[in-house]
Amino acid sequence: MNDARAGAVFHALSDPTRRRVVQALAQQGTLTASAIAADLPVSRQAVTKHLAALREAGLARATPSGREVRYELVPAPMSDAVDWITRTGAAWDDSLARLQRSLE
Amino acid sequence: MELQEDVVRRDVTLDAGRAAVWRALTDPGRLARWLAATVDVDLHEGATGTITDRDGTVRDVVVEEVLPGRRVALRWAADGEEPTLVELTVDDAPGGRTRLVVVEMPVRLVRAVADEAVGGAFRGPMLVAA
Repeated sequence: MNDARAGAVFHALSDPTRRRVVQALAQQGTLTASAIAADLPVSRQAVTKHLAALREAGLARATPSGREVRYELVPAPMSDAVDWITRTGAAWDDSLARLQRSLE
Repeated sequence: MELQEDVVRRDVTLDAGRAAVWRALTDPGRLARWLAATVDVDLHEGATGTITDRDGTVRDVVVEEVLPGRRVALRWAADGEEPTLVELTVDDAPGGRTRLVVVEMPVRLVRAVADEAVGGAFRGPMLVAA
């Protein structure tokens, strides 16, 4: 498990517009920045920036298609984030059980 | 705030008074009974030290905030791992018991929250567990 990568994923998903971009890609598969911008109250330039952040976090992949670039989701890193939450949560469950015992 | 889903949060009611729980959260010797194998840091704001887990993992720790009787906030990171912020908040619970809320999240996420909140009423970086 790579915590740094989980952190990048959390950061990428912390922005509400980026979450809507992810949602659009999840629902419609491969899309161009213009197609995503058409459905959101932001400019194509803003969408392109958000897509760059998602690519940096390993959440999206870009493929040139003629004069356009098409984007699709890469779902794997999300499971890293879920893995971090699960692992960290389980460690706290253990610690808090020990805390209760230490107070008795 | 929509980010609550992205953090680890535990909300437990402990069968002990608030003063005893507070000691368990802030006394290194008592912390070593439940949080880690050894706790080598003084629990006052700005202090730095290390916490060694039972499996031998050593974390560097910075004490971000101590609100006596109420909250401890720590920032920690094991070697090469993403730093996270940990907040431990205590409150009275009925029957002389004590509620403890633990929140842990990547520091980068906290910064994102604070950035989004600039100009708003929210005063970063703390995400207070209501």
